[in-house]
Amino acid sequence: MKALNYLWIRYATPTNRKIAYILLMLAALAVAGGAPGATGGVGG
Amino acid sequence: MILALAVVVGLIVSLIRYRSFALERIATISLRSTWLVLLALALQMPLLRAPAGLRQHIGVQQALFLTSHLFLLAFVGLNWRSTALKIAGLGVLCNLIVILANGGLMPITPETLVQINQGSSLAQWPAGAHYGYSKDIILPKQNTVLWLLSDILVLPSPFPWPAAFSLGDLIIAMAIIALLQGSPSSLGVLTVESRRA
Repeated sequence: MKALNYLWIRYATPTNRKIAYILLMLAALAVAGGAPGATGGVGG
Repeated sequence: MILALAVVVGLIVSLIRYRSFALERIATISLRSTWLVLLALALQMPLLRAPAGLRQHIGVQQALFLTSHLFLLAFVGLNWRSTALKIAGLGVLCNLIVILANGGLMPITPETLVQINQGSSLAQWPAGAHYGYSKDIILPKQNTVLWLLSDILVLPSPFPWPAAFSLGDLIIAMAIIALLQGSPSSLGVLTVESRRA
């Protein structure tokens, strides 16, 4: 637990959290805005 | 989900171009009302989780999917000052136009499906059926309205995740990659440049 706390303090800075949030939002935009057909969908 | 790779590509390009300043540039990106994107995605989940079947069986999922575009376009409108998001909006609009023109789902031809599903045959992809776990409907080319805007671009094997995508998808991916390069006029970059000087 101590190690996790250390990692959180070391890396989860406000800037890094903002970057992670931006990347996640852009991934969400890509998934919601796009309409690709990928392998694995099964025909009717 | 394949389009989410645009985020990874954009991040890699940014890291190559700006090295240690890449993350600072990304941190300067300002996005307003991101909850609209999450809401749009949530509305699309029932369709993305629907297995293959007749279009009539996914009426509710389809209605939610179409509604989600209002939230996506609202998100683009609220972030209109960003050129990259304007371009992403153009991609969303391209997809929406072809989706509406073909009854509410993105058309994909059986031939394209054979290309991305190695070992499958044309008979496996009946026209008019929903392509499971996607936003696509299987339609022959001659029955597709605005075929050029449908899922006609293919990433075939040996690409690890073979997929078909549309011009709109490509525009959205390019916009996301461009957005991740950060804004040259943003305060963060000015800070970086003053540090360099």
